[in-house]
Amino acid sequence: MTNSDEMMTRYLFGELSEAEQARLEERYFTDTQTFDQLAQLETDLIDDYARGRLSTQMRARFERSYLHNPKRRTRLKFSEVLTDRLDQTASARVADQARMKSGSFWPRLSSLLTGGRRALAFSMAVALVLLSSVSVWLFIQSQRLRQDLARTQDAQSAQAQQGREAEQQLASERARTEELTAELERARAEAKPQPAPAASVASLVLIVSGARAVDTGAPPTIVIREGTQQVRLQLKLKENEYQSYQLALQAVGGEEILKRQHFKPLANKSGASFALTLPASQVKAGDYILTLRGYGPSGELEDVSQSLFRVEKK
Amino acid sequence: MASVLTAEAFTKLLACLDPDRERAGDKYEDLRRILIRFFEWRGAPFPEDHTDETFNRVARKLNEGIEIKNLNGYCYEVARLICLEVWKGDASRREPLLEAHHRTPADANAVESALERELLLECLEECLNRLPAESRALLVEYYQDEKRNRIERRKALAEALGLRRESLANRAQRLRDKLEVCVTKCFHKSTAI
Repeated sequence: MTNSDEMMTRYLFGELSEAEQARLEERYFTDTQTFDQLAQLETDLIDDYARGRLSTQMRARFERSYLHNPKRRTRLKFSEVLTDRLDQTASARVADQARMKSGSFWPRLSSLLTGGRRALAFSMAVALVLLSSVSVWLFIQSQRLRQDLARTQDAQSAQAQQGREAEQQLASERARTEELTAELERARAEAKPQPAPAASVASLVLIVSGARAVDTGAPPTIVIREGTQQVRLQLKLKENEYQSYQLALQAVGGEEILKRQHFKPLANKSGASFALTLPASQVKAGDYILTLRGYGPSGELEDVSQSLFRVEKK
Repeated sequence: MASVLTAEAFTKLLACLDPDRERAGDKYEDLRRILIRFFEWRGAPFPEDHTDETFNRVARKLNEGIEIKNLNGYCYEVARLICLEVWKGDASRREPLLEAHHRTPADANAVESALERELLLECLEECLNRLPAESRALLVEYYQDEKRNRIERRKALAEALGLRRESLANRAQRLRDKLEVCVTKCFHKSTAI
C-alpha cells in the first residue's frame, strides 16, 4: 500500500486529524483523479471485507467506521450481494474453462456461440454444418452399400442352397432312373419271347420363353403308345426368379391330375427346369395345361406360366 | 433546510461549470458524485439531500451576482458548513439512533438481514439485466476476486481494452456507482409501505 493509499485509508476510517482531512478533501474536490482513486480504494476495501480478505487489524478498523453508519452499511450490503454474484459468475466461467480444457467439444462450442468471439463462433458453426452434412452423406452411402452387400450375400446363399437342392434332386432322379432302367431290364427279360416292346416312358419337353408367359400356337404333343408305363414332362424356364414353385397339371375343362407344392427346379446356366413323372395310365388323350406359379417373399403365389400340350394315345 | 432550485439558478450553475452545456452537465454530475461521497465519508445522515442543499446555496449565491472562480472549491466550503450544521443539529439524536440499532434483538436482526439480502439480490439481478452485456462483462472482469493479482490483472485488462488504467478504473467505478444507485432505489421501492 502506497503512502497515498495509507493516507486515504485513514481518511475513510475517520482516523485523520481535522487539518489532514481538510487537505485531502480540498484536493479531491478540485482533482477528480484523487477523488476517483479514493472512491476505488473504498470499493476495494469494502469488497475485501465482504470477501473476508482483510487482516484482523484492518477488519477491526473497518467495522469501527463502517458498521455504525447506515449509509456505509447499505454500501457494504450492496458489496456483499454484488461480490457474491460476481464470484458465482467467475466460478462458473472457471468451471466452463476447465471443461473446455478437458476436451469436451460441446461446452466449448456453446461458449463460443454465446461469448464475444462471434466471428470465430460463426466460422465454427459453418464448419460444423458442413461436417454434419458430409457425415450424413457418408452415413447414407455406407447404409446403401451395406444393404447392397446384404442383398448380394442373400442371393449367393440362396443360389448355394438351390445348388445343393438341385444336386439332391438330380441324385434322386438318377436313382429313380436307375431303378426304372432296372425295372425295364427286368420287364424286357420277362417278355423276351414276346414281340418288341413299346417304349415304357413317354417324354415331352415344354419351354417357357419368359416369365409370366402363356404358350400360344399349336400345342406340343406327346404320344403315349400302348405299353408306355410312365409319362415324363420336363418344363424349362429361362428366368428362375423364385425360390420355390407350385406345379399343377390339369386336363383342359377337366380335373386336376397332379399338383406339387414348394417344388424347386434344377438350376443350370441356361435357367432352370422341372421334371414331372406320372403313370401313363393316369393320363388320357386330350389337351392339358401345366401351370407354374412362384412363391413370393411373403408366401403368396404369383403366376409364372401356363403351358398347353396335347396327349395322344396310340 | 431544503430549498427549491429554480431553473434560472441551475442554468447559472451550469454556465459557471463550463460554457459548453454538455460538458457543464458532465461536470455537474462529477461534482454531485464528489459531494455525495463527501457527506457519506463525513458520516452525514442524508448525503443526497445535503448535496442538493449545497447546490441550492451555491446557485443562490450565483443568482445574487456573486462571482465564483473555483466552483468545486466553493462547493467544498459550503458542504463543510452544511456538515457542521447537520452534526450540530443532530448531535442529540445521533447517539440514541446508533444505540437503537445495537439494541435490536439478534434473531430479529438475522431475519431482517436475510429478507434484506433476498430483496437486494433480486434488485441486483434486475439492475444487472438493464446493463448492456459489455458493461456486465466489465464489472465481472474488473471486480473479480483475485486479490494478489488485482493490480496486474486490471493493468492487463486496460491494455486489452486499449484504455489507460485510470480511465478503466473510472469507467468501472462509475458503472458500479450507477448499479449501486439502481439497486438502492429498487430496494427502497420494494420496502416502501
